[in-house]
Amino acid sequence: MAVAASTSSNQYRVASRGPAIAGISQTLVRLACAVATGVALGELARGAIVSGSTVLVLTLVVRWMITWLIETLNAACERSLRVRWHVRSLSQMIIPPTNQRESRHDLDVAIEQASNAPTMTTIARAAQSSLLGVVVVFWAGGWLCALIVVALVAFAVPVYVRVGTRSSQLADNYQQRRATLQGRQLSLLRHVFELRALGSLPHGADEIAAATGVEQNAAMTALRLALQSSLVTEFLSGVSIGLVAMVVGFGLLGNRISLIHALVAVLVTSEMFSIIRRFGAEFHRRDDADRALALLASTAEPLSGGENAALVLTAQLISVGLATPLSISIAAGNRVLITGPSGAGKTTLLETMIGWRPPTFGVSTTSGRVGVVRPSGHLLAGTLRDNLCLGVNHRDDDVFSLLHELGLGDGQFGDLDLAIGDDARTLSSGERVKLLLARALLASCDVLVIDDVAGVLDDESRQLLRGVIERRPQLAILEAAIDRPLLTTNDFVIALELHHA
Amino acid sequence: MREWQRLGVWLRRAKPPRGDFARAIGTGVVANLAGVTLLAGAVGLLVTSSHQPGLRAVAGILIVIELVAFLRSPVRFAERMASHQLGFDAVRGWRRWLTLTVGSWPFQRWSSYASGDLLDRALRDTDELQDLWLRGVIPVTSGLIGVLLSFLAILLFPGRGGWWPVALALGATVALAAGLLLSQLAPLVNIERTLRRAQSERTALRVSFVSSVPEIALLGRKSFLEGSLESSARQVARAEQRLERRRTIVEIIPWAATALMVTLVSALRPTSALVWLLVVVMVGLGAGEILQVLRQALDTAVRVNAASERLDGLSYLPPFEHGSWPESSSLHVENLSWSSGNAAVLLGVSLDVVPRTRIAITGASGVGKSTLLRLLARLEETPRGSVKVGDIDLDQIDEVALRQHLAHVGPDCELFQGVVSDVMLQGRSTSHDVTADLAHVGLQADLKDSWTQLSRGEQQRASVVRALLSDPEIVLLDEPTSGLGERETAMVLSFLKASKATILVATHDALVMDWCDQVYQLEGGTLARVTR
Repeated sequence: MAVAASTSSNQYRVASRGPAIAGISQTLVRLACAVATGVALGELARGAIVSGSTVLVLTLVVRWMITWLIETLNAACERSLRVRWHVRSLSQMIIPPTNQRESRHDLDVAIEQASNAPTMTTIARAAQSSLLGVVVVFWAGGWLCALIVVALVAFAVPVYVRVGTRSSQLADNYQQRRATLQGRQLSLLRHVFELRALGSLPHGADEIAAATGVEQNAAMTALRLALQSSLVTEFLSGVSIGLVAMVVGFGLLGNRISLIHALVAVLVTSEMFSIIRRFGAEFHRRDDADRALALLASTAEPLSGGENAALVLTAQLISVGLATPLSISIAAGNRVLITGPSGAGKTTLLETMIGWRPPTFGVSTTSGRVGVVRPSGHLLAGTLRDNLCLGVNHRDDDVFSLLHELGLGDGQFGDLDLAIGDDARTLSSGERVKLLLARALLASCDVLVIDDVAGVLDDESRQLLRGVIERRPQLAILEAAIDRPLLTTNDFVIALELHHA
Repeated sequence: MREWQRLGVWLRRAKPPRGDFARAIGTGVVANLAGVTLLAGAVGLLVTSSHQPGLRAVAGILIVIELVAFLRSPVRFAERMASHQLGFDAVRGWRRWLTLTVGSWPFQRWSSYASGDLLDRALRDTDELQDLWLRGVIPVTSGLIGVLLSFLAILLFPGRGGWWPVALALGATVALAAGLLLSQLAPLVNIERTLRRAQSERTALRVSFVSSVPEIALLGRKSFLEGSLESSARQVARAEQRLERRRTIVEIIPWAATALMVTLVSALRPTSALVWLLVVVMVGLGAGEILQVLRQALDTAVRVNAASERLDGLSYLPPFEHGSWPESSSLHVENLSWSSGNAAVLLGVSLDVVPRTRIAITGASGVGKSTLLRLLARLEETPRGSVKVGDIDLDQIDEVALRQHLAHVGPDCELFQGVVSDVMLQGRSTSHDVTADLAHVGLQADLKDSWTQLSRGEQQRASVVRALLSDPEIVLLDEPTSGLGERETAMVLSFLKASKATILVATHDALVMDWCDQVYQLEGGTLARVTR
């Protein structure tokens, strides 16, 4: 079973051009706003009140607008990404995973992290382009200022990144510990009823508060470490702005630069550091987003046989219970029966042949449509029509005649809008098997894979179903049965034996 | 208004100690002021230098700026730690509330919830709620105080009284903007609720599809599933978009207010240049900052609203009064009926129990013996009919008094991990000698011992001893000897006899039935005396 890598990584790259441009333009606008604010403050200092405050207000407005624009664009991008990934997550489960609940949770987490990707790109590009600010500082404050800023940025960036990564690691560790710590509180809550009978409910409340206290002490330790690291970043930016102000102040004193230049230098420095600090803080999320995208982009599908291949083709297939490697080619109209006692590996062999399990050795490919009929098959929560037609516009008459053929002609099955509840718990296993068969036939399947339905069918139903498949000689059928198979004639029998380890 | 009231109730449910609160607010105010002072100071330095008053003044201001820059970080650190401490205090208070609330549920509700994820979710919700303190009350309070202080500082500027109109105008603008922001909570919460509903529909659809997708993909009809899921996902996206739009409108408010304030200051200014510049800076920063903080608090309120609604759904008000335990402890049950859902369990049970008698209740498995005992112990919701102790209705008795005088021992007893004295006393005090009582039923244990793994029989015997530690007058036991051999059963029965309490025991055990004075059979929802 090969893993078909998809081309969605391409889609990701296209999607990132927009956010990248957004990031760069955001920085440019913010730097320009910083310059404008400096000019405005300078005007105000000179006494040109009206022009000064007008420019200040305009700056505020522009700054707000660019932030809003970027956030809206990114949010729209993320929304459409989430829709796409949710739909795509179905493709992730085409091969049934061993632990469905865990895989589902992993996918949920991956979708959330992957949809952060546009924002991460924006922040990264914004940080990179903020280095343009150095040019502005050079123009405003002279070479010394520019040198100081370059040195501080070069020192700050790795520190910010390291701090951000470390904080996120600490948070992850704490989350893991917390699950264990919360176990005690959960078990207390679960037995709170016994405490009530004893009249010790307030005591139980105290116990839970104490257990929470233990959990929170662990949290405080993690928090303290995280906060101490971020202290460093705050300190750095504070000191940088102070240094620049100092240099620029001395320049003002010596009449080397004008007030406006001085203000611009300080404000641009402040702006640069705030952009870079955000990058550092969010840096770890970028790794998460990339990893999540890789997970969502890879899909696994059962191997397809291609244009002229047989419907089911195996080559040197080894599976539990097979005495020798199996090489078989099943074409239209072939009937193959797999027999053996319970536990010999019939279901395993079937699942391997249709690609739901990796074979121990050898290869199996399918082509065309395969209908799987088994007592544990899943139905959708929806109407009868949804389940049988799967979105295709079959005529009601065709559907009813097929149901009639299968012995489901009357009662509740007379109404195609009948609601089938959550995994059809109200239906009997026999009815479920018949519905699955109807579904497969309506979808014009080429191969029918039947797994051990004898136990849920009474004699009359078995006769009906035998008739149905006999009337369709072009169907290829692969059936696994201990006894009383639906197939009355067959072209090939695979007999499995119980192997004791 | 209603939304704010609900969040207010949650804040009051876990009021923190005054000292912690003061520390958090205090450090917050200092940190805010430090930040504002830093930038204002830097700007002031530049302006001063441009007028060249002399190196000493510049050096002075420079030293102050650097000092503030150094101090700001540790102060910020102290503020964050104090805030989190406060948040944690609140979480402990909310979890106390959770325990008391869940503990007061009727048994039926509790048994359906306790097995699922609901309790786990509730614990996490109490954690989420602490943002009400961390990102709500604390930043808003310290921010408001900081802004107030900076407005007051404006009044000290030269211009001699001319700054009053400015301060007033600024205050009015902040108040107006704050009011506008707060009014947005209800519409935001409504939209967020719609979003949550759409999200849970999408999740349910996905869960349902995920199990079917292998088979349907093999049939070549995967696109049907993808189409349905896509339309559900798009509905979620539309709800998200509505929420974004509403939040944009909310975001305009702080910015518009800041712009208005800057305009007002320019229009109303009473005097000139340098000080003037500082005022503009401080106004812009302080007031804009507090409105941003308010907006973030609003966002927080919307976000934790879901958690608060879920926790509110758990609350339950037991319908009991506060009467005291009656003199006589005779039990009178009259025409008791109770049904679970549509199925009737008890249909008119009547019983009169004289104090100090021992009554066995027997019947087929699942017929309702446990339910009857729980109803008599007031652990199940109020039924039809009446249960009286003496001449007082069971519902009239105060919970604390009831539990002291009436004991119930259920069929599953599990709280047996830990130090023996803690496990047995569970916070109560007793006049009994616990060790002697335990020995009476065949358990050797010292008060300081630690129990880790008791067998089922040991747990059963220990729970009988535990229930009788408060010297109850009525004891209700549900299958207390089901896992015990003859010898142990005899020990338990002799222990119960020594207690001189009225005893009702649901049992199949012949030994127990012989030991009792009267035996009743529960069948078809009614109780009938069995004569022997």
